[in-house]
Amino acid sequence: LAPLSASDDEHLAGLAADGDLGAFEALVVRHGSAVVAALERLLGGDHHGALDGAQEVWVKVHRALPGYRRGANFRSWLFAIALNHGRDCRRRVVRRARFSGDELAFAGRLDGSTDGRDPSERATERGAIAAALTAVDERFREALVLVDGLGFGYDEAALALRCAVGTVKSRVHRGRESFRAAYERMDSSTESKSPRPPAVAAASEWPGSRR
Amino acid sequence: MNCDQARARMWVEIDGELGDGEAAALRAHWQSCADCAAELRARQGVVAKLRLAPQQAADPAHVAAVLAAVAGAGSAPARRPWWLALTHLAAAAVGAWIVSAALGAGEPRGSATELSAPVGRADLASAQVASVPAPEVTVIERERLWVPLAGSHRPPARPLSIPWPIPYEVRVPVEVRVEVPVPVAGPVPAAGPSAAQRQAAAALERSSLALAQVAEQLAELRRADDGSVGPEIVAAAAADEPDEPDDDQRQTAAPLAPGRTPPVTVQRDGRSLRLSTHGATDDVVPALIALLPSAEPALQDAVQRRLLGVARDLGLQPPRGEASSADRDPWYRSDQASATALPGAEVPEGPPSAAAWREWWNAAEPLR
Repeated sequence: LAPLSASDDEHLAGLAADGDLGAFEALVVRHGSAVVAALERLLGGDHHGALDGAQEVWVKVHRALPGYRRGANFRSWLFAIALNHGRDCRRRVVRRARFSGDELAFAGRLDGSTDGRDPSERATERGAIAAALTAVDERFREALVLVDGLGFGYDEAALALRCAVGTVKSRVHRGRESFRAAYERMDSSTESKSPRPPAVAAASEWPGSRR
Repeated sequence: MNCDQARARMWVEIDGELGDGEAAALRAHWQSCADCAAELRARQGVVAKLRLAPQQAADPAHVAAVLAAVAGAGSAPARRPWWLALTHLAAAAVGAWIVSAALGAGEPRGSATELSAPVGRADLASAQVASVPAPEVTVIERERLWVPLAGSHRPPARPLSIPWPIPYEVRVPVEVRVEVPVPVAGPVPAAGPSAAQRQAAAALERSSLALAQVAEQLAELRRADDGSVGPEIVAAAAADEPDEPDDDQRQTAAPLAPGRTPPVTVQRDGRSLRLSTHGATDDVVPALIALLPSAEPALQDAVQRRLLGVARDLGLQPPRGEASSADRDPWYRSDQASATALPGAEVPEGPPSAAAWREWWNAAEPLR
């Protein structure tokens, strides 16, 4: 695979916007796995859901390509669409869990507890990280996925999240704290019923938290 | 730097965004503080956990699935709702109606469509139909023309054999020339609106008779020719039975006696027009006046000239025409020139209207 450069992405996106399906395929090859990985993190480690969601994201991207501003940062533009779709998917999952009476199990999953979660999935590090991320506020989680997960710069992430760079930094720092607390809580709950570390209490009292 | 200050700057240091001076102070602090050094390692571990593996090229199966989804329904432009087709159909119907109306307006007078127009007191029942070979005359069957804005839609005489509401037209390679004799019944009575409407209705009803004659003529031509006229046209026109006219209408528009030459005859040959009169002035002038309202501009000019000639011959002052508003300059003449214009300067007049001529003729009766 040729080394990726941002200008290549923008050039390919311009060609794809003109209807070049080959350029679009090249973009899918370059960013397809990143979109899947990001959605997997956003959807609590659901790999198959992330694959389906990524497909829908690319369909949305293809539809939106005529409106892509030439020369604009393609990765930010792409992940703005992907994050939007991730939010929609998550809401859909929550709604489905409520309708099917599985609300308690889903709430446990969101809290990062082991209840309602496949133990074999938790056995892997990847699953544990995804599970701990579900306990992080959605806005913080998105910033974490972009900056710490995919290596976005703060400027690039701010474009994708459509907020100020300072806001992204703040969300990333608070998200790291929150994630760390959730991850440690999950570890302690699996090994022994140890008291919550002080960081968990602090993280759960963030004023910006939605839960 | 104490522990709180060091921990407050730790994330920024991990991001590599701390200034050189602060970074050096932070490093100096955690070298001396074991707790802060452990905290730094723990935080670096958190960031390492969150980091996703370096992204490789996407799985070919996933790329293929994405491209299939894009090429399928996903990439197709959003389908329009089915009811939008109705608006298109309605627009097409209105367009067809406008086009047919425009075609009807542009047709040469004297064709079969002319017969459905109100022609005043002309006696269409005794219309003489002559046919000469000529190119391109359009025959539109008005009975089947659906006019959405007109309140008085006459249902067709027999069930429609074509899909509603599309009108159709047939182009016949012959010209049908209709000579309309105008009856004369003394001075033209000043008719009220209702009487005028009755007259128009009666003229329309009688027009179907003439239409039937045209249809017969067309049928003969079709039999003689290769049959370019559809049989349904002739059948429909022939089956269109005229209603019985009211008695009073029969009196006012009585057919001429056989063998009597009509007082006014209009003959058309292509674009040329010939207006011939026959008989006494008392017969000719009302017939000319009756022709005025419905005549085309060229015929109106001819009739006006003939009436002016009659007035000159009789030594009578013709009626004053209406000031033609088209010739006026609303800015100059009304505001400035009205104050400065010479007293003798007259606003140009248009030709007198049919009503003016009728008044003139009725008023001039004692003088004649």
